[in-house]
Amino acid sequence: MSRQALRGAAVSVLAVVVALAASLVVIALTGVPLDKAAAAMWDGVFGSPAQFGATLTKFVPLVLAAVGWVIAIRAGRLNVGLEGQILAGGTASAAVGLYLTGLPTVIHLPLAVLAGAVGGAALGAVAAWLWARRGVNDFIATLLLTFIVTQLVSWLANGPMEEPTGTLGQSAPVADTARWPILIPRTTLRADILLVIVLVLAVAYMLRRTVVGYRLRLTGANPAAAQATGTRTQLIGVGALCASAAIAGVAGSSLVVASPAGNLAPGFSANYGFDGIVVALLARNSPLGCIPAALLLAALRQGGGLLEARLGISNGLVTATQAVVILLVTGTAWYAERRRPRRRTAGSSEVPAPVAEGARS
Amino acid sequence: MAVPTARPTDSAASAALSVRGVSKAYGDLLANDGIDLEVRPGEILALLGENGAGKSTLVKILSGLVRPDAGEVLVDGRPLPPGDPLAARAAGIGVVHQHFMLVPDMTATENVALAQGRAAGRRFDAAATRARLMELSERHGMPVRPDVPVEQLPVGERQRIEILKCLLGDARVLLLDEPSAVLSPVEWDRLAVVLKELAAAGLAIVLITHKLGEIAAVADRCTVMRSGRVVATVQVGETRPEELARLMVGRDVVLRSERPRIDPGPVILEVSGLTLASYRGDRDLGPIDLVVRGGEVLGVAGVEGNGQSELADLLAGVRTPTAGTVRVTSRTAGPGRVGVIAEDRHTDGLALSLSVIDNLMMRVIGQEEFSRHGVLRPGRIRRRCAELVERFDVRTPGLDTPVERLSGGNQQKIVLARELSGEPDLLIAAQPTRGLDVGAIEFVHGRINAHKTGGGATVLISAELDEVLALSDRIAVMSAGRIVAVLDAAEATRDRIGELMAAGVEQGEDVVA
Repeated sequence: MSRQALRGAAVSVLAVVVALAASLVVIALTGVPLDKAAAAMWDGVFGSPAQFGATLTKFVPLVLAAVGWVIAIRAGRLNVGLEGQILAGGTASAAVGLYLTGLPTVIHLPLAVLAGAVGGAALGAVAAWLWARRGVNDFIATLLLTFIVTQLVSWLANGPMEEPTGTLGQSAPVADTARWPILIPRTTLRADILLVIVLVLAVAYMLRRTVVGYRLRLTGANPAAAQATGTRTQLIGVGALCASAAIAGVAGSSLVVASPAGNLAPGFSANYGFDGIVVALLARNSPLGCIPAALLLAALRQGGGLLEARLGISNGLVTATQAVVILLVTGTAWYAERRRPRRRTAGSSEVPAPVAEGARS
Repeated sequence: MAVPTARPTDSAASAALSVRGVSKAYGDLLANDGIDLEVRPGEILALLGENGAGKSTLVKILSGLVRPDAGEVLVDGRPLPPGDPLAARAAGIGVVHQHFMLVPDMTATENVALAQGRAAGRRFDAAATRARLMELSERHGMPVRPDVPVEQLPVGERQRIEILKCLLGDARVLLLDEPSAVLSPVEWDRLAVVLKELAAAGLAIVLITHKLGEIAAVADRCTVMRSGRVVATVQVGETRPEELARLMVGRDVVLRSERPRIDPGPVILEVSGLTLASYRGDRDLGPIDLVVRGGEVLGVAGVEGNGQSELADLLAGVRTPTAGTVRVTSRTAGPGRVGVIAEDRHTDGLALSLSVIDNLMMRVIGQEEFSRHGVLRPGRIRRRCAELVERFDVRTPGLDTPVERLSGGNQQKIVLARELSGEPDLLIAAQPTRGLDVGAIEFVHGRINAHKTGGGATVLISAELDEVLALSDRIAVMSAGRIVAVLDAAEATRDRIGELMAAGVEQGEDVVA
């Protein structure tokens, strides 16, 4: 790891520590004993296999959304519509799980996951088309499409896709053959977490070790130079948006076919798309960094739940803690990315050492 | 080291501007380190230094845009409050920045009035402002059109408006930052006359420049800066240009390099009828016809903004022409290869946040040698980059260092390494030495000459006339989007090219190069 990356990681860790300390102060002000609050938080995350399983279950969509963001931002594109792409992917996945029946799990489940990726990518493609062909700002396009999809999914869950009784405002559970098997008994954790880890590693590998990843980073760093030296930057931008959306779509699929209820309910995206951006921010857009960052935010979400249930401390505190993390990380970006003003001139006597230093990032 | 110092004959008290011990650090970098200088009324002081010597920082401190860490600035013996642009202007410091501070769609009168408008709410008396502007314009021989939006005016006229703006603000000290950068030689001669007259009228003038010729033409004294310090202040009349160059760079400098001559080979670049509609306002570029052979350097000279940048973009294939063709013929088999040194390496040439390796591999990453089935081959890539860094003498702490950490000269060497290592048939070098120090300039010139003796064709586009003269076998002069003349190196002189640059606007004939 380079010194700059180390410094970035240090800043992220420090931001989290400060934010947690700040929330402890707030808790103390409410009069709740800190040891009880800490215990509730700890129990919420690690207290039992079920609790820890629930934390990891929340980790899955968070890390996927974050990695989706990373792919787009590395190409210089802003995909703030991850939330919408989660909804689109989850809905497509639910449709496959509900209406394609009679298939064995080995076919049905992969189809359901694939449908999630395709559904997300399809929505991403609309934004990419608007950006590439119509000159619409990618930020605007992805964000506004989210609003449309949110309403669309709500209508589907309350209308065409609602369960047979037509009273619950959500769909029936998908076929068992389309659901991920439970990984740890008596927890909500399902086997999709294995796929997720593979996906994150694949994205990290793609960015570091492939020509496409190289061109993507180059396009993000300087599109003009990339274009001038033979990279098709618009194609890269479109591809990055679609790939980013596809990964969000897989997250959406997990939120349906790996959820306890296994059905489509309005608002099942539960803000994971936006929290994913926070995770990526904390990870400084490193795909591997998204793993610890997503674990942390998942733990906050999960522990915050018990904090509310046991001690009556509002779940809003978790949101506030996240906000402090965001402010601290963005506010200290100058430190991690500080440029060295000291320069070496051509006439300097220092001899460079062009030696290999292990893997290149 | 003893610093030779030529003092103004009067005492310091009579100085219009004096700078005492001014220091300013940016992080680890001492941009200004105990700067002392003074200018008397009626005197033109040249401030000479390479890029990065600290001239710009000093100008910002003098104009109140930057607060110094130490030291003080005195105007007429009274200290200036630091970091206060309004106070600096009120005290009589007028600055003509290299990039003009004019509102493009306002007229000269409006721009001047804008600069005066300190009392909010006071009515803007257009007629009075216009009258004063015209009076000063006439008195100092600086013709300007007061009622035309400045965006429609030529650069020279805009510069005069900037100067008049300062005069109308009762400037007593006039700072000009690289004023010749945007002027043709003829326009510069005119400005030199004006500056001398203004000095004779009692103004103190500071001329910031890195061109030795200008100093000899107008300045009385010259203060030389290097690495944030004043290394000498000399009387211009008593100092040879070589001595000034040595002071500026800190070592002996070859002011003119030897141009290799080889017999031209086969035609490599053939441009015919190349046209780009409305490249600037309603002005068209071209039609341009050019032929460049192997082993030949075609220099393109012209005042900035006359279509050279656009020509470079068209030749490099970054922009699509409205009409016409660019044909590059390979010396060997296959399609002709083109190497491009982009005019602005930061925006078009490099990805600053990426590593040395990433920047070196842009063109060749897809080749079998460096990637297989879309997967990079890091071992081969590293070996190749280490070799290029060695061959092109790039001073870098490592191959993974982001190029933004390197000096301008080393950044440009990376561009050269990338663009020349593919042994291109045609090299397009646009402002290849802009912003580089003398050592790096020598290196770049050496590489261009090496490309030439290797049989490659070169199109050199440069605002530095000396550079064009030093390297080119033939020189095309551009004006108003056209090539107005093509001269052989033997018949090309500064004066001849200067005339053509200025005269081309009226002639506007097509010339086949």
